[in-house]
Amino acid sequence: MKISRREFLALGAKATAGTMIFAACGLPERELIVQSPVDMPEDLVRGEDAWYATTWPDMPGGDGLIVRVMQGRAKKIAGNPDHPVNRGKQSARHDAAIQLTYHPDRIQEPMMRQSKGGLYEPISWGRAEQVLQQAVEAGADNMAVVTNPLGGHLEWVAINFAALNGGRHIKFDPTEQGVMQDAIRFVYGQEDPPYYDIANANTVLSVGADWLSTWQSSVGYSVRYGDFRSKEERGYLIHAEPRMSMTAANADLWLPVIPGYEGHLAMSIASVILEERLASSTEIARFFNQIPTASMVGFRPEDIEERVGVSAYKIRKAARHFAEHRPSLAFAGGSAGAHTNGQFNIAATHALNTLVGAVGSDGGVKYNPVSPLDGLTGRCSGDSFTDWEVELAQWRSGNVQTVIVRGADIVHGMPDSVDVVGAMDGVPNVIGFGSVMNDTLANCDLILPEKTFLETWGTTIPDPAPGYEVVTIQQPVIGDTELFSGNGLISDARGFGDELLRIADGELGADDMEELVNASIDQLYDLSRGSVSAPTSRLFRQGVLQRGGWWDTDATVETPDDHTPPNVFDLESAVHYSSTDGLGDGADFHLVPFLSNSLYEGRLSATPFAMQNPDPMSSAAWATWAEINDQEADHLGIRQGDVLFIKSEYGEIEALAYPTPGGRPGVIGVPIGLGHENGGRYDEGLGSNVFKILAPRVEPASGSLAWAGTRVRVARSGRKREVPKFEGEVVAFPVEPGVPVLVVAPGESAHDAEVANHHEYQQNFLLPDSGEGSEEESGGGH
Amino acid sequence: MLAALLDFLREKHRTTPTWLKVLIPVLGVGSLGVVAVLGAVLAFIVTAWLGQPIPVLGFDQTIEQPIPFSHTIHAGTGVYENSLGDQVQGLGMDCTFCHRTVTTQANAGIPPVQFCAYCHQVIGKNESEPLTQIRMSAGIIGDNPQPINWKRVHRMPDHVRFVHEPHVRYLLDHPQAITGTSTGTNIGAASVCSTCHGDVASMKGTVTQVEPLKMGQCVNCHRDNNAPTDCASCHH
Amino acid sequence: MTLQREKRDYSWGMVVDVDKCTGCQACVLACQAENNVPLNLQDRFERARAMQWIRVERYWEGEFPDVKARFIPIMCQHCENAPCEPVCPVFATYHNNEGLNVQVYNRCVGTRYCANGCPYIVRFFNYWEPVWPEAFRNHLNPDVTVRSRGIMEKCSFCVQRIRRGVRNAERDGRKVVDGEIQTACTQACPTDALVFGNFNDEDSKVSKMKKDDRHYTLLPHLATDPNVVYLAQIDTDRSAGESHG
Repeated sequence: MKISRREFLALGAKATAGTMIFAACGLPERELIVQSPVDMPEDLVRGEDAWYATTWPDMPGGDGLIVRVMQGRAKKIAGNPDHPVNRGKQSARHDAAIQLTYHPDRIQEPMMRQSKGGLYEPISWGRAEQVLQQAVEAGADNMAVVTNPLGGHLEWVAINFAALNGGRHIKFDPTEQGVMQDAIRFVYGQEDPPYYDIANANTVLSVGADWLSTWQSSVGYSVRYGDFRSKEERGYLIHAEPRMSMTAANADLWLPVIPGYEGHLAMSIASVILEERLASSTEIARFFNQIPTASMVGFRPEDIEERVGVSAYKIRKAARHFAEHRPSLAFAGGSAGAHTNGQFNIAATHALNTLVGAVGSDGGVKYNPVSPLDGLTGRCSGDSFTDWEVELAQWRSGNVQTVIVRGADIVHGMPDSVDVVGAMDGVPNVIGFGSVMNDTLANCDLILPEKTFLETWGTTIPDPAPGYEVVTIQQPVIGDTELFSGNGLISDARGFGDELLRIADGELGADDMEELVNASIDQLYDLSRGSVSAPTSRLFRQGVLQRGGWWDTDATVETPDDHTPPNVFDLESAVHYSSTDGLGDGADFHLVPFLSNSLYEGRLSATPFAMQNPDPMSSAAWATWAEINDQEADHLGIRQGDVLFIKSEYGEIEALAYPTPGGRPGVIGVPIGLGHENGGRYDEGLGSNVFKILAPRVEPASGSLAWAGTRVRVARSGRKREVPKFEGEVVAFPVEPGVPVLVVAPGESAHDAEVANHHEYQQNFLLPDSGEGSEEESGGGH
Repeated sequence: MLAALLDFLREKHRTTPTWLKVLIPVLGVGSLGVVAVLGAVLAFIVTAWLGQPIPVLGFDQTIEQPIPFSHTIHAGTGVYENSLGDQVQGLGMDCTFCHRTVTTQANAGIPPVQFCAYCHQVIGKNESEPLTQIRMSAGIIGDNPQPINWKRVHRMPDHVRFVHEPHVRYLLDHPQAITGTSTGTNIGAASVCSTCHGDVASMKGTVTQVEPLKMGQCVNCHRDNNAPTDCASCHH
Repeated sequence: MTLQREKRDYSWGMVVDVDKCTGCQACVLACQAENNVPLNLQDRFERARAMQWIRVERYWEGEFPDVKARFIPIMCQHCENAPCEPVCPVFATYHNNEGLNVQVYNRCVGTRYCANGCPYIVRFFNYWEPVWPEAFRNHLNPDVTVRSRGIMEKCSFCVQRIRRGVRNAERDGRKVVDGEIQTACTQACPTDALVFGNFNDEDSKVSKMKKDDRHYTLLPHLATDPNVVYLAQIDTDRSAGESHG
């Protein structure tokens, strides 16, 4: 029995809205895609609203979402409360994503240019398909399909379409995590990223990974963080990162490590645990199975505190807490891996888990099962920078006839020294799919309007899964946007997967994404287990779509609790030291780019929702700012809003100075995501692109770009501009004079803390000389 | 006495300059005009305040629908003329037959065009222009079904959120609260709806808004029926 | 006069566990999307006239390397004894009998007295007509008025969701169940730092959280009696009774 997509939607709507009369009559659902002029909401003939479950495959994590749909328009995106990864929660990025669909600058129709650098002319889809077909045939021997890391069916289609036409699929992630996967394979012998049981841990030590904000499944981790903090024994968070990221700001103990020395810090923590005998002898024995005994020499905190930039006192404090308040958990990622010694940094951190018996235990590291669906994985990492250099050399040499790009802004995301545009110019047919213009699309010969995630079918396997099998289903929640064209909207778009399947003409075993997804749902039905049980496959399908996916909490894999590390970490040959490209004398800052909390790597920069959402730490929006330590800035005469030139050997960008006490001296933090030369009306030409000036250094083991391993020189331009930020807009009214946010000691009541503060205040008031500081200090706030 | 007055006027007439003689009647008539215009404006404002503005000067509330749907034939019980000029018996359908979500949702619900097509793929002559449009929209004729942009007729003032469901529920439970229905009955869905919408079943051609649907009307009814009069009940 | 708290069916309120707030800004955007809050374009920030019904304030304490960042989400406190209410010359803001501080947009004439009266600075004035390109109007929430220029606006505790929840409960002849109504921010908050509920229900989550030793209200010396209760942040580096760092 075949059930149409519309019928699915209808049933979903009925179940959600509870209008069973409709179902009884078998009424079609055409009304959902109707029917009123696009106008202010109060002018709409209001329809009933329904919440549909879906997901957004472009954002890592595989969070389940529900979308409120009314009158055929998506109104609000929220977390799917049923979904095991994010449990009904969301990040600011999810809310902003709705504006990708309703963007006023959505690409409306296929556009083609006759020559490189030529003008684009709109063409019909029929013609566009012809061109696409010809390009695929022309590139039969050497074609590249480029996407962002997707996972699930869309990636399956990209891989198999490329293979079918004698090409290859290549993934691009500007902040690639290949190092981390390598290290995980090394330490745990696992292919899939493990699940970190943060909720049940008493101590979490994270290194480099901004997991509350942007790293991996950040919403899922934040949900677990909530549990972690509200346990009987409140969880204790230790975070090591050179800049004060959002995660560092929430840590009980922040270790502001010098960039590139994260591994040394981890080894030092291990050496304290060994020195003070804070681990059992079995644990120590297992640890030494992995790390040769001799390697531990020279990592005493007192010996290396200068080198790593963290005081011996703090290292010992962290080590003691980590070893004594178990279950403890350590993991690393993000900027810690983005150095030439990235593998050492990450592997050394993960080895700490062995030392405290965290592998396989509750509140520790748990292995994830492989995906229950054939051929689909959740592994969401891009191909390495080295692979990309090889690929781009091919493009440049003219060996590649056709390149199909989707969702990967390679022009924006790679250092200038790589010259991606030059490489693209060497390919005769560059075809780009996208919904809003970006730097890569602007260099394509054929631009095809792509449907957004709210309009297409797909699946996502969460990466990492929460310890058991999860498949999230993506379904279209609004009708084809072409229906809106009567109102000057929106776009005659087609799905990327659907279009590739059309071109493949049935050779991939399906005509569209819907068919693929249905086949997978049938496959899940045949497993007859998991979160949805139904007597027929049709009802099962409806159940899966209503709940937004399928999961089986029992489908876990055994994590051996007598974990013996599979590999011996050869510390002698491992690269210990981060090598950074400098400018010679005076190259005095270490550049640490970081993913923007709301724009991610620039994927959402077209949307004003994301652009205007303040950064958690600086509260800045609409601009590229540079975080610099306030005392150091004072010393250098840099004031807030000074336009700084940040210059590396490979280029120069401008950024607004934002001195902050949360910056490490010698480190300059610049957000990723802005500086699009081509884009929509909200992001074109705004801010600077920090990727441009990165040194093309790689981590040798995985070949990944060491994107946090560039040294820069910083100079004032002499110009000054106000940093657009929310901070300072409203006057701060402290809880008590001098006390912006009431803080209590563990076990202390708010009342007692208030009394203590009050005494302090009175004392200061009576003796003004001694108490000047406390009121001034809060001035940094809002 | 009269002669003295005439003398006085004659004297006045002789001494008054000609330009003044022209100006005075002009001013007099002009002022009358001004008073008339102001009066009209005032009357307009008063009626607009109390109810619907007088339907002149483009303030007519009649709204052309994309398809001339006839409520009389569907909901009425008399004999009516259809678009082809034939005499047809009214069906007397209940309002909620088509406006299904009125008892459960904020809005009454415009039925999907497929719903129309359930009957109209067979009922009704092929020559009928409106029915052809319906069939095209439903995909029975042609292969390009397009939604119908029905126009809104009943428009609340700004900043008001009206929800049908509790009102319909209350009036169904408390028929004595139904007042001023044009049909005089106070049982059944039609009389409930007619409290605010008037006797739609008898509206030939286009449906018009008959009640002012101003805040005074809402609040009076809410007070009479002990319903909440908290601003935030409706304004948000 | 408003009813005493105890005599109402519902007394809506929020508990903010500051210890769990990570500062992620999810609530800020969720609120904006739900309530049609105007887009804060770049010049709004530069002129310091950006609007956020809920904001996450970030304070610094100390200097590197012993610096701490403190986040605290601040929205309308829905004071029982609100300083903004008596100053409004047209009664556009008032307290309703469910504990909400209500802003009636069609009464508001834009005197901005209330914003001056509010010690928490949570009221925002529409200096401009909101800019919504036609395409974006598709995603505006039809349950919420799009405010025009000259109107004061602020957090409404998502009154449209409260109305819907209460209506559904009334239809079924019951009271609102705890957790049934969620404001946009509490729905979004990944760590459950924001919790919304009925203070008049002894068993509700907010009532239980309010009994925590860490509870306090903002600016208590002004006796505004807010319906938003905060739970103090825990700092493991502080010892009890010690004065503030």
